[in-house]
Amino acid sequence: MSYVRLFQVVQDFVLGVQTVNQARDNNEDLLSVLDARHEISLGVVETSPLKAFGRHDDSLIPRAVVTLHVSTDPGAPTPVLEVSGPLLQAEPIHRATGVWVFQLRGAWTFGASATPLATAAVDYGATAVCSGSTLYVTTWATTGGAFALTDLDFSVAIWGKP
Amino acid sequence: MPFLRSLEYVKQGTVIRKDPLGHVRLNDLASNTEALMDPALAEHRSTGVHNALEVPFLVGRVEYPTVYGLSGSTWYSSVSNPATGRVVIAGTTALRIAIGGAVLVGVSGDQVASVPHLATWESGGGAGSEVPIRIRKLTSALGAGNSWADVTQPFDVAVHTVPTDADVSPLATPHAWQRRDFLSSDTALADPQWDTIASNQEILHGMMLAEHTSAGAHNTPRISKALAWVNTAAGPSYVLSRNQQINSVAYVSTGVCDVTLKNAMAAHSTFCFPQARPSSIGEFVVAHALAISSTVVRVYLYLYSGGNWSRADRGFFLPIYGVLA
Repeated sequence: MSYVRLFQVVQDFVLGVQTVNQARDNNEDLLSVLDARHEISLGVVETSPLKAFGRHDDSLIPRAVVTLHVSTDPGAPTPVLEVSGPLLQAEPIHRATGVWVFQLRGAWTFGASATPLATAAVDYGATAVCSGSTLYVTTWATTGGAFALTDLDFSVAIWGKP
Repeated sequence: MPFLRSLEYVKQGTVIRKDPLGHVRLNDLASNTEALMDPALAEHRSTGVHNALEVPFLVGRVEYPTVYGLSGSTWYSSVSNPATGRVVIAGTTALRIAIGGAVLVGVSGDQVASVPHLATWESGGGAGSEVPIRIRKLTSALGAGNSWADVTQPFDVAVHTVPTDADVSPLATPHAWQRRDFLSSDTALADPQWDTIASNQEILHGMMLAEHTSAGAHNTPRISKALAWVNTAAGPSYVLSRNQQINSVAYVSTGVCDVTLKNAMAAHSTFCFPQARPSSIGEFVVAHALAISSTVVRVYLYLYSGGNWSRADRGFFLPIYGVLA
């Protein structure tokens, strides 16, 4: 089965069975292409947000992308998030200076990659490590010539197959 | 909620010559084609370009002034180097690539084989449609010392964002889906009905082939081609714990691991964003990845401990974007 471009018709054109069958096959082919890497839920009402209708279910695509801005108002560091994707369970927890904890849900083989934000020439680093359904992102900067955990803004992309 | 649904698609059998080609069959054909539009438009623009934030709009490698990838140069307007170590990628006005985005940077010049580098990006920097990126390099040799300086080095970059104008080319198409009239038993099978099916199928087909193969796999460089989860083991050695499209890993020397892909990548089209895995929370580790052939990516791992930088064996996660050969 493969897709074949169909012709358009005029009023006195007779549609034969082969052409109608090709239209049916075209729909089947398009369904197959879509179903390969997207959530289709044919005949099943999908209830998991990880498998939302039409979403990608390709493990090669991150399940979530987050940029976390650290707000120090009203005093304790709090996250201001720009989030895409259904993978996060809740807002990340500020566990300690330079350590953020994300609870992930409903997927396996988590992996993540992070890059810090900065507006000046500074020595900033970030690491992201997954343990079970928990993602730890640590950020660090030079203080007095040595690296120390420091609260920084960062972006992180998180992979995992639903 | 929008995801609590299934595809409204009716499986149809084929017809033979004696079967009537009535309005019910034609209506099912038309409604199936229209049903397929829904999932197709969920995370794609009408041209088929992916527009989920999880899929970076710009992916490529900057070896200033040379640029590889970045979606064929149609989605960014320029790359500049206003100061040593600072490279600015300017998006088109339509894409507004700095707004609401997330950026990954992987420093990947030859010098990453010698010393660690650090990269940062600036949100909303410059004119609001720019992504300024800064690269820092350890200026002292490995061992004691922790001095850093700006250096203009090649790097891989992925810019996750959404366009401000989703209807601009190449994101949108002037071709519109056609609505059909629902036929009843006493309606003539007029030609507009058939033409609507043919036209919608053609639009959908073109849309899916924009960034997918005919089998549905993604063939845009903006979607990763391989993933590696690598752990350390006794020996010392590296072991592949999980993977997508990775053939094997090999221990080269302390802190150096070769990752061999199942499929060869095109020249200058391997874009990596490695993430070193600290052995404990709070350990400072840095990973770099360099394509040393069409199928092998070499990963360098550095550790900062006790005021010293050194190569060290650590686990890592490696997403690889790009173009298959």
